[in-house]
Amino acid sequence: MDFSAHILAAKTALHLSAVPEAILCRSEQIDRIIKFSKDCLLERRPGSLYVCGCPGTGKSLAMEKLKGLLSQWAVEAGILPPDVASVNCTTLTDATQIYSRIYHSLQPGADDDRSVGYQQLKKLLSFNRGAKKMQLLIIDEMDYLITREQTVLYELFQLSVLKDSSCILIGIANAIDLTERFLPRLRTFSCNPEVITFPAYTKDQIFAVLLQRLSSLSVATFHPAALELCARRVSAASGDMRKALYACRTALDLFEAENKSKSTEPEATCLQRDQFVQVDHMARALAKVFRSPVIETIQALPKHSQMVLCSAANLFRKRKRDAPLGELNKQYLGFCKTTGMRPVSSQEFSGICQLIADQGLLGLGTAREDRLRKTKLQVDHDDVVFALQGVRFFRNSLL
Amino acid sequence: MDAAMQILRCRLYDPRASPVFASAEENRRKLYDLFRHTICQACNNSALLLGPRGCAPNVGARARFERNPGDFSGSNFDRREDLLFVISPLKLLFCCFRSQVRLNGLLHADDRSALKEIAKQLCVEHELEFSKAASFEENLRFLTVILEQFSLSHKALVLVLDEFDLFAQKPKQSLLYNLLDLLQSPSSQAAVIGISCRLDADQLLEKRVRSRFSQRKILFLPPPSEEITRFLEAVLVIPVDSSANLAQHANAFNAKISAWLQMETTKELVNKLAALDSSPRNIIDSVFRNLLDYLKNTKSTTPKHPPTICALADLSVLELFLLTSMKRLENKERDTYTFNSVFKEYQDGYKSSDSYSKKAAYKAFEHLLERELIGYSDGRAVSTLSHLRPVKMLISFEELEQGLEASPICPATLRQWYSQPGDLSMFSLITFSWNVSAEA
Repeated sequence: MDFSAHILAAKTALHLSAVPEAILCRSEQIDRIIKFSKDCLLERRPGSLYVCGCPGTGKSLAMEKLKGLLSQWAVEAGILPPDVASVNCTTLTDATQIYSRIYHSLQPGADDDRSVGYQQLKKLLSFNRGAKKMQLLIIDEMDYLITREQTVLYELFQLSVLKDSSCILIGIANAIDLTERFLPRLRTFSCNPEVITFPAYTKDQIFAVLLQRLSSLSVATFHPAALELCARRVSAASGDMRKALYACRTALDLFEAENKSKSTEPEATCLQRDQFVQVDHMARALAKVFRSPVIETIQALPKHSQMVLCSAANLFRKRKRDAPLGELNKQYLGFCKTTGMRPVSSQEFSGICQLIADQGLLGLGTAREDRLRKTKLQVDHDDVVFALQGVRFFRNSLL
Repeated sequence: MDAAMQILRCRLYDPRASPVFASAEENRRKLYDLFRHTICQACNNSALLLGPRGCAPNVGARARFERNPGDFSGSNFDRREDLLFVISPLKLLFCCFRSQVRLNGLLHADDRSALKEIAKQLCVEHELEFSKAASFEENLRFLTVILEQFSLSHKALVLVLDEFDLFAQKPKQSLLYNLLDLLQSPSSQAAVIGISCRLDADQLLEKRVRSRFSQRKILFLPPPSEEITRFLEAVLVIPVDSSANLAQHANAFNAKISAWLQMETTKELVNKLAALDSSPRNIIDSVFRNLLDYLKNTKSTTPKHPPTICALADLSVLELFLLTSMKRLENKERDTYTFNSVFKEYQDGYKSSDSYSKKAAYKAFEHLLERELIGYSDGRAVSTLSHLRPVKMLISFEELEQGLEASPICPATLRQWYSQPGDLSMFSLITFSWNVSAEA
């Protein structure tokens, strides 16, 4: 198979939107959610569930799977499949719009212009007033609905507790203790949503998922050690599956670039049996993903900016609090004296500090007088030392 | 001749057409690969272009969108020209297959107006009707629908977000979340490019937004000092088409440019500028004046003074004394100084036959304030205790030095006093504070 076509196939397999049929490592959580939904559907009683976990742990993925599985099972079991309304709360500008949104997803033909309140939604979702089927409400990024009084959240959970309600509520958010911290009064109306946590992926899980994604390729592309490095690093950092996929794609990019420059006929080469994405490609890709390019930027700064940054590093090594700009200037003048360079004037000095602050290397506050502005070093002292130690000029001045 | 002027003007002033130096070539290639991947192979991508201001990030992104290099006759360009023109046939191909939307973090202050702007740009491009009263949800739904339509017709949407860090500093970041979320679905074909000068722009994102962002960061760095001369050459040398009539004029011009670049003064100027701020935009702006002077009179370069130096050359002796005293106070690392301390420094430090009264000195001081060579630093409009208000110099030391050189009436002793080192002595500090309390 053609080299570039193969790389393309690998990239497509690793893309976020290429969801595989079977979802690995989340079977326990999916089973629990399915069991809960099935019980509610069979007994035709309402219920509420709270799903939590860090970003990139497969919550939305599980919900998509759930929708399909549930309707399939309902047909097999001979009961009416539930109506599903799925809302992502980041698209709302105001928390109370959620009622309209849910109403219009459940009733697609309804009048769009009317805004719907809680009472009307309650009417729609109640068996006594004519609802025939159960409704499944999936509320994604539920923490956007948190307001001062929490009225919206309480009302939503109330919907799932009322005797004649027909809705099963599943709320998704990142915080584990959302229900305890923000909704302490849930217990007063006997609402105890079951909490299902999606833990961060472990090293083995990430490795397994990556292997599953790459199993669709005809030729093995990644060296197993590279995949294992990626799994270890990502699971140690955050356990976010998306990061692992991005890192693999970046490694593929590096591999492609290297091979393109090496071979003389890039179009003709096929992927050999022993040509893999190696560990060093993966290591470089992981460094790119996890670190911001501070060192290269510091090394590329103009001379005077480097001097100012060096003075800042020396100054903030001794003190932890913010320092006013005047003190940084003093440090800079001292530095110029020891190295014999001509210092810039105070106007130009503020200009240089503003330039460095724009790049995010230095934090600069506002104050009435220029000299009183608070400064703080935003990068690690070690990064500055590492970046500048290659330059002979700075070697003796860095502590 | 006109064509040559047009080319030079475009290169110097139009950021889209200015050439880029070799170290940025790789970045442009990466960007190009990214776009090709999105447009031709229907994959969603997101990237962040980082770099100091005046460097290539904006140029890199804009060059990608140059629809038609129709102003210039494409055959004339040699290998030094932009990647843009080398791949122009492909770009024309891309034109049909992509649609672009540009947003700016400074202009679109909140998520609602940003989404409105996206909808408006898409409507304008595809000649649909744009409704001003559409709400946030309606605009978002419109965007989703358009993306679905695009993917059916194999078209890609490219969204460029300038000043990306300002979008990330909104309280809810809902625009970024929604845009990056759209990239996750298989039914959309889009690329989101953020441009920012902050290195930690992606740390500003919320964790769920950061999780959806692909962590691809392309760093644009200013050129190392060796390359700047080559870059200037690339900007200023006109490409010569040997068949054209004016070939010898163009050759003569190019020869002059090369000679100018070899001059010691030019090299020194470029080095000095590079030590302060080596972004291409700054370098071009600053050397331009020098270049024009050189081109106008090749025999002798009469250095023309910038207005500040002319102003300094016109000042009276007393005013020069006061400015020098301020400079000496700054050298002594005095954080703030007032008129009284300046006058004291002048009286103590400068021993000469003529001494001026405080009233005359204050008149000179007011004159300096009017010419805006110095200014009050406390920011209040009017104050009663004018002798005690902190002041600061609004010119740099080098400008003052050049002004003293250029001034015809500056006494030699003043120049000496200027270059004498000041010392931070506790004695002068104590007398200073004593004076302040005596005056108050």
